[in-house]
Amino acid sequence: MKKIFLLLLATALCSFAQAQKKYTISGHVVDAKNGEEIIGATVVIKDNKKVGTRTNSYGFYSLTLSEGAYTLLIRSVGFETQELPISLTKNTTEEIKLSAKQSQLKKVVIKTRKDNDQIINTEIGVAKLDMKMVNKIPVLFGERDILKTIQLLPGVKSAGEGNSGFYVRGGSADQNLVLLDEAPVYNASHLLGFFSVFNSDAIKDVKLYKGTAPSPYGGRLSSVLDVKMKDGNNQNYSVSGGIGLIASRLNIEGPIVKDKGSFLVSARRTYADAFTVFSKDTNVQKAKLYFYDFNAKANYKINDNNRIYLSGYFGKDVLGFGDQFGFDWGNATATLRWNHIYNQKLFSNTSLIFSNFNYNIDVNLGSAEFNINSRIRDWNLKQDYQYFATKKSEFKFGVNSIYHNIIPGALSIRDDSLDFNLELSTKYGWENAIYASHKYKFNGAFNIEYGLRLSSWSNVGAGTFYSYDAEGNQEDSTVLKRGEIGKTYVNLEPRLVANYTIDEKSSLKASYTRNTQNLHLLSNSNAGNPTDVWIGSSNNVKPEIADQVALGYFRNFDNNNYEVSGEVYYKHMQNQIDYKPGAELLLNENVESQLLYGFGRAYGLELFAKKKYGRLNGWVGYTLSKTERKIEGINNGEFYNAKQDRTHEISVVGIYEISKKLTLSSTWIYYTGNAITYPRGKYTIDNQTYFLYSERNADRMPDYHRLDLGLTWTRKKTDRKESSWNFSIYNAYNRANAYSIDFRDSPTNFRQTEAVQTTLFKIIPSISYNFKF
Amino acid sequence: MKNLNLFLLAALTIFSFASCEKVIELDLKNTEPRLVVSGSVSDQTGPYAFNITETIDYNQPNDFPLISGATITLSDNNGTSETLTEQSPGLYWANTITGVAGRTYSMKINYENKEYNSTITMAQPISIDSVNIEAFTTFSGEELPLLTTYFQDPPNEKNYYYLNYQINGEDSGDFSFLSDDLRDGEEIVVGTISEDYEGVAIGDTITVQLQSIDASMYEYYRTREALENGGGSGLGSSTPDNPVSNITGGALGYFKVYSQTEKDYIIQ
Repeated sequence: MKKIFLLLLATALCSFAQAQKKYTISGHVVDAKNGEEIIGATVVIKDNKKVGTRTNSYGFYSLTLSEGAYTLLIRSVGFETQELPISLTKNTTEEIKLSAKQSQLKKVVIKTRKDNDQIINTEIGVAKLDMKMVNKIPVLFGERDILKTIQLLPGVKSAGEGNSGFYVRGGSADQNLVLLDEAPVYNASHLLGFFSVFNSDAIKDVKLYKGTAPSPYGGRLSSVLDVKMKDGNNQNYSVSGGIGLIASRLNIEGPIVKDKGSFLVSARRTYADAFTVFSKDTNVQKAKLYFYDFNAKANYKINDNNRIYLSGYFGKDVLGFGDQFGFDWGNATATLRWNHIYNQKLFSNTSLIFSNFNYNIDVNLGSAEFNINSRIRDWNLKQDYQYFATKKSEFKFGVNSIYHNIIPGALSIRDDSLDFNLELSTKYGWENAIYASHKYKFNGAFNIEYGLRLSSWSNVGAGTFYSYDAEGNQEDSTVLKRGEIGKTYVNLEPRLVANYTIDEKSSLKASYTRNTQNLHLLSNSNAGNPTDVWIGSSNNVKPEIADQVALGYFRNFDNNNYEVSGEVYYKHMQNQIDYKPGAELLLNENVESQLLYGFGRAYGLELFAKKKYGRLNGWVGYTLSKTERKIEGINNGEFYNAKQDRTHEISVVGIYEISKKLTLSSTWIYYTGNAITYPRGKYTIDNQTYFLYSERNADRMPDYHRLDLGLTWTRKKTDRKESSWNFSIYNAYNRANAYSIDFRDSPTNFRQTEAVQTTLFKIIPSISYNFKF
Repeated sequence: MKNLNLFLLAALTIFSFASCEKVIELDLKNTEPRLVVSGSVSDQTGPYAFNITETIDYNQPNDFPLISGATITLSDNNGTSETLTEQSPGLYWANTITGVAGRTYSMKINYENKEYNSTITMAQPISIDSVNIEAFTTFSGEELPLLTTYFQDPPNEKNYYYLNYQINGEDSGDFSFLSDDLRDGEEIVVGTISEDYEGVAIGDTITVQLQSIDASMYEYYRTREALENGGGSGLGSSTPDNPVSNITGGALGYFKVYSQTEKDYIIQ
């Protein structure tokens, strides 16, 4: 590893040795209105757009050029492009402020060059969401949601209604790394998936890597969903919020010291349970069902070279019945970050991150009490460097260390005579990674980004680690003392993306990525539950490894007004986990004895066309895919469809600005029904009828399709004040989509069997009011 | 955990626009019929009965074919062997062999050139200490009768139990099964609440039969129950699979070898 670093540094240093005098311009790109740093803004030379850079996650850019006079073009989606003439005779620091684009209608149409970023960048398998667009897309109960919106992009599949889990390129739901300000979020859903934990008021930027993430990311096979919170307005105080049918939101932000620091506090709570008091049924009155979210962030610029950020999230779901039953679960995350600019070319970020997910079930029957709880908690230290070596070459390198602490489950039962406690042993795991990556622009049309990530996982004591034979009997055990390192896995993960820019309008990209995963979520229900168990790699459970190759063609039309792309991928996954029939996962000390292992493969084609500008914009996405597993002990060891296998998936999103005050939006989605196991026959035993099952997941649920409509009516809009009404209709043509299909004896002829389909949501209208002042 | 989902869904539908159910037509694929076996040997007096039927297609009415002409051989490790006689179509009896705890029993079925086998050792009987009816308070404050059975688990060995409940000598339909995992060597209490006891009156006798079964039979009951609880297809259910049979050769069902003790409780 050391050698590789030296090699990389040597390449960087060589480029210094060139004769001509070079100077660096660097600084931050921010939103003029509120001081928010803009992520991914491009900074290029007007006369030679191939020369340039883009801002990092903290809005920082650095560009090294030969001495001389230039005009820089600074661009970002949703902002007016800015031209900045500079005379570079010494190293220069420049903060660039971009103004938000005005409504399309107001503007006289000027033929400006629009951005062709997707053609020239080295990103393949990446989905980005524009938060302004997210806010216009119609959703269930009017609660806008980035997780639901990201599922409208090709290659990303919704796990279904009642499940905010998502599947990326044939991976399972636990193979997505969901990050909120760098902190892993272990359960990204509220109310078993009807809403996500991301309150869009507090979100600045969302990016999804479909298994092609560069080396700084690691730890999950399928994807990285990188969600970044807003920093808060450092110019003015501002209050915004919304009142909806089932939830309300309030967001307050403002400067701590103008231009130097700001804060943001955002909260959301559902109040469906508030209506239960009106019910005549005392049982309904006792029911509790709500969730809340709390996001907070503060940042302060100590000086030009040092800035600190503190951000946190806390959310909880509460489900209960009087004092007798309570079930709550939630995530908590905290991130402390320090940005340090060593010099104009070397940017550093140090993060200390905390993540926690737990659940708690209480049953109180007066005479007896019963409690189950479980927790996963991480401490995470990250050190990232970004070195802007030359205008052609950029390096990233760093280290990451995560300490995991998992309480798989604890049960206590207490009554007059009994005091029973069962606590599964706490598991400790230590994950480490070191990485380096290099982005290089060759002369001509070729760009590459390549890197290596060396990752490791170790079991840590105190604890006893068992090995199991094929029948699930304990074979052997290792006892570790407190702090002692046990079974360790080390993996090398190479990553490579290459871009061949054919011309300004089109490019070809290819990538190869290896990802590994050492935390595995055990869930034997097709929908995820808060009680699903996280386990680490161990003597029995090997690290999951995925190798993915992807190839993409990108083409822009009509002055970059339209973006079209096609990508194909093939993914091979090792050490995939499935379960023995009737596997017991809850409160089982020997849970690893319930598992089966094998490999998986996934391949597909993703087509995407997007209209970016104009009164009508939106996109059409199509995915053709297949994902299978081959696991000894299931389906006679033959390939079978993974539960997330869907052949076709189509999504259409359209947003139309009718007038300055009215915007109409609609989404339509269609997908092949999930792979499922239906009965193949029936038989009788012990005076009961049972169904006969044969091949695993060889059948299909009925096809799913749905149209949602939304209308946003902006009542007032000035620089400071804004108010709008949002009307939406979920499932506008009232399609009865299948949530589940059950089989039973027909009530009219009980000698005959019938299939019964349950539908969760038919047509649902909703209304919400949003404000800002 | 499916119940958890259902609870939440039920709670959600209180507020939302109600989920709905409808009967749909599904064109299900068919498969080759498979043999279904249920047979047992115990330390109780025989004859021991073996039932053999076959699976049928999903869309057929519930007339399950009784299989005649199978050859069933039962033997023990004490040198006894017997070919069962077909008493009526699909019902076979073992008349001579006797069940003794600690002995190992082998079953061999030949039918249409296929062979099915199972070999199981009979576990030792465990006696019941007491049977009681206690009060159980539910969420809504209602008090329900809880039938409890107390017995002592022998330490340092794996034990598996099946409890059959009878009312006035007839099977009630209610049963329990458990392993001594986490309770090895302790006094075990098994409680049951069931609608099967509705209509039971003062003077009626409830008989609890405590059967010591083997690990493979316990696994069969456990996976069969998991299928009943998690059945169905779709989100919120687990992927269904056939219960794990202790018979090799691809038959469904079980070969149950058990010892039994019982105790009565007269309703007062």
